[in-house]
Order: sequence, then C-alpha cells, then structure tokens
Amino acid sequence: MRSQLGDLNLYRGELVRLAAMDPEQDADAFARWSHDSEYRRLLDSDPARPERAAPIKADMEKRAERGDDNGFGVHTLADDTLIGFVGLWIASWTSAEAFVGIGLGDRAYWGRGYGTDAMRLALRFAFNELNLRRVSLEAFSYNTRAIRSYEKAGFRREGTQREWARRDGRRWDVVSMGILREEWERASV
Amino acid sequence: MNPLFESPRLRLAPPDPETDAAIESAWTHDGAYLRLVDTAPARPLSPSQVKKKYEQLEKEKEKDFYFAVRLREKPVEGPEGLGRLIGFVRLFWVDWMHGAARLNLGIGAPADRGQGYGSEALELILRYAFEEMGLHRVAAEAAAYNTGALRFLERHGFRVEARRRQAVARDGQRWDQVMYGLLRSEWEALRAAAAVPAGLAAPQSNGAQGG
Repeated sequence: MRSQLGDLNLYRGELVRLAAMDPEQDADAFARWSHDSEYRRLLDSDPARPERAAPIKADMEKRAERGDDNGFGVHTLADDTLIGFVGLWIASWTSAEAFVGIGLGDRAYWGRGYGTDAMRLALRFAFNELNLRRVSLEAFSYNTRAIRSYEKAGFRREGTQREWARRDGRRWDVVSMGILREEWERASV
Repeated sequence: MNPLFESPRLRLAPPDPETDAAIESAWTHDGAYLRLVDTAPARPLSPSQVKKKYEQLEKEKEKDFYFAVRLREKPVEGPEGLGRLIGFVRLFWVDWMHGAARLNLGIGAPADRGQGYGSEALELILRYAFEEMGLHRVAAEAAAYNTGALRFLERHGFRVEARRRQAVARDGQRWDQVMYGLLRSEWEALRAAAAVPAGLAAPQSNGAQGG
C-alpha cells in the first residue's frame, strides 16, 4: 500500500516482528520461561517464581480488554517463533514519557541482536506512533549484556540508583537510561 | 526508645477523612503547590475526591506508608489533641524484598512553609524508614526547576544519583528530573555526626557513646 507516511509497517524489523499478545497461544511460552530463574532475575526485581500458564493467560486477557496496553510479543521473522516480549508503559502523557521493558525468554536468541532489533521497533513505535518525547528504562548493573544492547539501540546512561537490589547476599546498583526523541531521530536517518 | 511519631513540634498520624479532606482539597487549589509536590498534571480535588484518595491509600498500605503531618498542640490539661494538619509525608513503592522505597513530602499551605517543618518531618520519616521498616535505601526526586526541593534534599544528605534528561515538561520547557538516594549507612553516619560533639567524634574516643 502506498501513502505519504514513511515506513508503514511499524511492526517489522530486520530479525523480528512485533505482534499482539495472544493469550491462547502465548501463555505457555511465558510460563516455560518463568522456570528459568536466571531469566527472571535479569528481567525485574520481583521474586523469581515459576508460574503456571493459567494465571499468565488470565493476566494477558485482562490487558487485552483494557485496550490501551502497549505490550507486544516478539516473533522471529525466520519462522515466527515467539521468543520474548517488549512493552511500553506510559509514565506521563503530559511529559510524553514511557518506560520500556523487554525480555527474551528463549535463551537460544540471547546475544544475537534479536533484543536490540525488538527494542528498535519499540522505539520507532514510541516516537513515530505514540509521539513520545522520551523513553526510559532501568537495568540491573549485573545485566551487562542488556545494557550493551540498550546502548546499541541508542540509550544513554543517566546515572545509577546505588545498592538498590539485593540478590545472592550482595547489593547491586540499578542503572537508569534514557533516549530523547532528537537523539533517536538523529540516529535513525 | 524515642517516640517514633513525635518530634518537638510535629506528629505523624493517619489522615482523618472527616477533618483533613477539606484542608487537603484547599491545598490542591494552589497550582504552585501541586507543581512543586510532584510532576503529575496539576488538578484541583474536591474534598470527596481527597477522601477517595485516602481510602485508596488505606488499601495499599503495605506498599504505601502515608502520614498526615500535624502540628502538636500544647494541652492545657488532659490528653494532647491530634493537632492541625500542615502537610503529608509518604514512603511509596516500598519494595520489601530489596529494602527500597521512594519518599515524597509536602507542606500544604504557604504560611506553614519556611519554618523548618519539612526538615522535622523528614527526620521523623527517615528514622521510621530505616529503624522501623528496616529499609536499606530511600530515594527521592525533584524536577530541576524545583530548586527549593533540590537544596532541601541535598542539605539532608541525599545524593544525586541520576539526571533523567528532559523528563518533565512544564510551561513549554523540558526539565531534567533529578533522582536522589540516601543509603542507611549514610543516614547513620549523618546522625552520629549530628549527635556527637565535634571533639568526641574521633573514632578512638574511649567509649564516648550517647546514653
């Protein structure tokens, strides 16, 4: 289809595409990933806890009903496997800022550019569709692979919340990162 | 043990919907106050909306410790009354597993500001955070235009941990949001320094502990 808009297919990257979450199809994969404690402890600060598919499915259904959820499944272009998710949480419409969260549950795709590609799609959606001015994220200081990927996608470090997390009897910093619309525009021409 | 909820002039107490809602509603009709107290769009609230907010806070009290700040009365005789509401102080986003929380504080009426009540309330809430809740760190944030808040936090030992660039839009401009943190160890050191006369603060002082 032709139009004067640039890239109409907002959801298609080089390696992955973003798709609606499908409670029927996707809950099993999310439950499977939750049994990988390392994945869970890289992902967020909640207690790592193996989960069944049923409550995950119920949660996905609730989000879908709300209709304002900016969460996507990440699928490979090669064979459409669901390998993870990416979601934007609008922190403020007046300040036009969202926080982004991303996770690749399928370890086979770690360290190969799939996450960076999904993040680039999330940023394009944030800036070109949601018209945001800034996208932010937080990462554990021990999650060095993720931080590298975020830098590749254009995020800059803005500081660290010292000793925020306690895991394995140690304290860890949480790194704050952000990307501004102008920075993203400059990087994407 | 020292009382947790009382300082010389102030008392921390739960909000009382019957008496406090009208007072807090009046604060929210001061746009300048709302734009200093947080970065949400300023919006006046009716007393009944404030009451609903109190009910919501009550439901979330495991993760949201919200206190009314009241001026202590000097009782002529009999028990001390609750005292006039002058502000609030709040520890929210409490993460028990990691021992972290975020702080917010406001003195509502312009006439009550500039008298050190904020500092007094902050001392109470920090002691509560570290000694009652057992937290490891307390965070706070302020938009870069809010120079009073930046100075206040720095004066009380909070350190700048991050500058979230251009995260706040107001009056057609974008401002950084400055993120602060105070660790338990830093708070303990500040407290010890404040409690011990300078001459006794040397580490080898032989058993000169407060008693």
